[in-house]
Amino acid sequence: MALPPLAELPALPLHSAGKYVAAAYVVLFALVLIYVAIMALRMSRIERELGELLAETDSAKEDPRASSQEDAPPLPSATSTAASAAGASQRESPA
Amino acid sequence: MYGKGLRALSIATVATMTVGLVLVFFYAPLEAEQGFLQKIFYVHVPLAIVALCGFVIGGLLAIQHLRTRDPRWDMRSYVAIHMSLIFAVGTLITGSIWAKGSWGHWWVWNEPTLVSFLIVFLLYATYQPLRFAIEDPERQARYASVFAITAGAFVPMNFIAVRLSTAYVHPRVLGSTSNLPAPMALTFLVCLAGVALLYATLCKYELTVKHTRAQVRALRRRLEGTRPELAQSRPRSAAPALHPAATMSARTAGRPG
Repeated sequence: MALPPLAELPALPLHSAGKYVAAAYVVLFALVLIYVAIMALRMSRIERELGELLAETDSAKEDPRASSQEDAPPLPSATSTAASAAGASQRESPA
Repeated sequence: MYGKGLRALSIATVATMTVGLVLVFFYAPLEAEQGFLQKIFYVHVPLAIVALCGFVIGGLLAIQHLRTRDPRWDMRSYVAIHMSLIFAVGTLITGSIWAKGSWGHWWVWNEPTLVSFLIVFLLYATYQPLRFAIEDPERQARYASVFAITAGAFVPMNFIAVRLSTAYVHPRVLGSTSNLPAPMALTFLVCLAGVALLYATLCKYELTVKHTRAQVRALRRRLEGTRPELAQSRPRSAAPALHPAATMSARTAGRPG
């Protein structure tokens, strides 16, 4: 009886090699998943900070004492940028 | 600024990696000696190649930082090295799994390729503590760049030294893909492209997050001028600090008046 060619014989049976192969690919996807999750957490923190800045600029507009300080540096670009940035983040959010 | 093209890059990455996986499991033939276990090759080797290339790229970006003193280059160098470290962790873990399945041991100390990669990994593992140890952001960036250049030069030297030594067990890949059967070579190249795209996507993703965070901090600093209660100092960090000028000037410098 002729033996099959060597190339057709796996060195390890599929049931024992399969777990190693699966583990290697799971490691890759787990690494990517953990990384993306960490980045998503950071993004949500940035979104929260932008919301806080928007709230602060809104309260600064409503509070005349804060907006009429003589020694305050000019802030039209900063406040408008903050408002537009926060507004942009609000527009992007599904809510 | 960094977010431009991120969606297209992400889609390309997912598509390439999906095609790569399909090729690995449904197209590439079983290898004669290792059989199904050899499928780890298609994830382990691209991870190693991309990680080592990323370390070298980090060094090149650090050269650019020292030339221009622009903190954005330091940020790019930091992200390239950070991402390469993550890929290097993946390389070490998948390599150990392959070694266990193939040789029966999780680690073999007398194999030069394994040990040299571990040395490179441990060398770069000191990069973040080095940054964290220096409080002044400019000094931190400068020293980190010098480190990245020196270590980046060490990577190819290390690679060549290992090549020149007599490797008797570890399979050779670079320069010998022509020895692979065509289906295996095609599968390998697609997987390499997929992992390289994944690296680029994650780098871009992290750069976008860091840049956005720097912009928010710059906004907060501007508001601190009128509202002292908002004052908040930057916590000590290993991550590069982008100067407000680098983040906000693009918006304000061009405005008339």
